[in-house]
Amino acid sequence: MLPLLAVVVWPSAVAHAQYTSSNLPRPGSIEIGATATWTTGRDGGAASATETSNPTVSSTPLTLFKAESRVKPTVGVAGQIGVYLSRTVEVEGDVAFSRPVLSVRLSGDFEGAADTTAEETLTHYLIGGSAIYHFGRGALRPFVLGGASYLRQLDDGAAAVQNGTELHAGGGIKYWFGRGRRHRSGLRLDARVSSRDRSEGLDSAKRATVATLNAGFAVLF
Amino acid sequence: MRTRLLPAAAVVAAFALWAPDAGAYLKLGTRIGSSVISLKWNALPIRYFITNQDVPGVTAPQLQQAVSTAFATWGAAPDVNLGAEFEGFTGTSPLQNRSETVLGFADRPDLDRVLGSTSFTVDMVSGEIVEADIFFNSIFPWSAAAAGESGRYDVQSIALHEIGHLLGLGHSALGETELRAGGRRVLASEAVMFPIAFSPGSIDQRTLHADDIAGISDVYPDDAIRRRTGSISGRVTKDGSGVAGAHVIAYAPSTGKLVAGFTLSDDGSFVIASLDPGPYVVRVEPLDDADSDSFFDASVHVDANFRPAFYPQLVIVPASGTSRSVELKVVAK
Repeated sequence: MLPLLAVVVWPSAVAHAQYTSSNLPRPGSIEIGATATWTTGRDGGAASATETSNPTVSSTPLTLFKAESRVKPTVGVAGQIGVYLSRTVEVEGDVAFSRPVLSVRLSGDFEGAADTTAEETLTHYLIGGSAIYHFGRGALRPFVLGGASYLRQLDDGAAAVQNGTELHAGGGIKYWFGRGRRHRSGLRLDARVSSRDRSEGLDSAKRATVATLNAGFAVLF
Repeated sequence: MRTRLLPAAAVVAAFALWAPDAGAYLKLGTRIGSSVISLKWNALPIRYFITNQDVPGVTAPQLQQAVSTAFATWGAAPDVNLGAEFEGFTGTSPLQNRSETVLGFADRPDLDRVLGSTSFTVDMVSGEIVEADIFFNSIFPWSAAAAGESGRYDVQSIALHEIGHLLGLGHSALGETELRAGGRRVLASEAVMFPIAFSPGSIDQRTLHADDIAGISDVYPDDAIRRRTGSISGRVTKDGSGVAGAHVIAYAPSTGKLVAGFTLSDDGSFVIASLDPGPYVVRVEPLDDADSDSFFDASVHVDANFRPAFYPQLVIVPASGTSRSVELKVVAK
C-alpha cells in the first residue's frame, strides 16, 4: 500500500481536526474523487494441449505441452463522482483503467521445446456504479459499498474486444479535512472484492474473483 | 522427436498434389500457370457411386452406409456449406478411369501399406474438382461393426479420412509417431487427416477434430464463418532466413483446440485461418512424424533441422481479422 499512497496528491494546504455534524454531506452534496488502484494477481487457469492416443498405445491422451496461466498484480487509476441521497447514503459512478498482464508458463513439451513464458498485456476499462453507506459523524467516516460494472477488455493491439460484467462489494474510510463553505477535501481508502465474468485468463468463461485496493483523494461540494 | 524402431504400420495416403500458398491444416491445390489454387468442388451436392463389391467383413451396402455417414460428418461441421448424394451402386472399380465419382474396394497388393487412396480429375483452368475416386485396399481386413472389430480396420474411419481428401484437404501433421522396424506407428493424433491410421480395431477416428473442422470450413465456408473467425499469420525463420515445411500449431487454452498449418514457401510464411477469437499459444516444430511427401510435392524444400519452439507471446485472434504478424525464430538442432 505505501507506494500507492505515495502517489496521492493532496490539494488542501491546511489540515484541520474535527468535522462537526453540521458539516456532514447533505442530500444533494456531490463528491468527486480520483484514486490509484491495485488489483491482486490471481491464478488464470491451467490447461494441457493434448492429442487423442492410439488406443493400442495408451488409454489416456498424450500431453503435447502444459500451459499454466497467471494474471499479474496490476496498478491502475480510477475516478469517481457521487451524489448524496441523504447524510449517510451516496450513489456513485466510477471509471477504472488498468493494464493487467496475462502470463502463461509453457512447459513439459513432448518434443523438448524449451520452457517458455508467453505474456500478453491487456487493457481493462470498468465503468459502473456503487451504492455507499457511511457511518459516523466525525472527520473519519467508515463506509461500505456494493455495485456492479461493465467490463471492457482489449488486447495489446486492440484486435480483440471482450465485454463482461463485474459485481463488487467492500468497505473503506474517508477522512475529511477543513470546513470550507464551498468545498472540503479528504482522503479515501477502500478495499473491495469483485467477481468478474469474461475476464482475462485462460478460461474467460469462468467468473474470476479479485481484490482491489483504491487509495486517493476526494473533494466534496 | 522421440522415435524407436517397431513393426510395420498401415498408411492412409492421397495422391500427391500441390500445396496452396496459404491456409491452415493443408489444403490440396493445383498449380495453374505461376499460381497455386485450392482444389474444391463447385457443383454441390457431390454425386457419388459405390462399387458393388463386398470384401470379408464389409458388404457394399455397409460401405455405402459408412461413406454416407462420413460425408454427413464433414457436412455437419460448423459453418460449412457442402453436401453429397448417393447415386447408386456400380460395377465400375474406383481404379478405372471414368467421369463419375466412385468409391469402393479394390485389390492393390502392390500398395501393401496403403489402406485407401483418393484420385482426382481437376479442371486445370479453374481448379474445380470434376470427379474423384476413392479405393479402399481390399488386401487389409475391414470391419463395418458399430463398435469396431479387433484386428480389422474400421471402414467408416478410413472413409472419413479419404473423403477429407476428396473434399480438398491434404494431410495434417497433428500427431506423434514412433519408428518401428518396417514403418511408423502412430502414438496419438488430433486430426482425422493425420496420414497414419490408428491400429486396427479402433473407431476413435470417426470424429472430426478442431483441425479438421477449421480446414473444411476454410475450403467450404458459409456466410457466417468469415465474420465469426480470425486467423494467425507470420513467418518461421532460422538465422534470419525463412524455413519451409515447418509445422505451426495454434493452441487455444480456453477451449483446448489445436489447429495447425505449415510454412509452404521458402520465405517461411504461414497462415492459420478459421480460428475462434481469443488468446492462442503458438508453437513450431519440424515435420518429422511422417514422410514429407505425404504432405508436400517436391516444390517445397522442407527444412526439418530445427528445434521445436514456442512463440514468447500470446497471440490474440480477433473475429473477422488477422492477428499481429508473428515471427517464430528457431535454431538448428
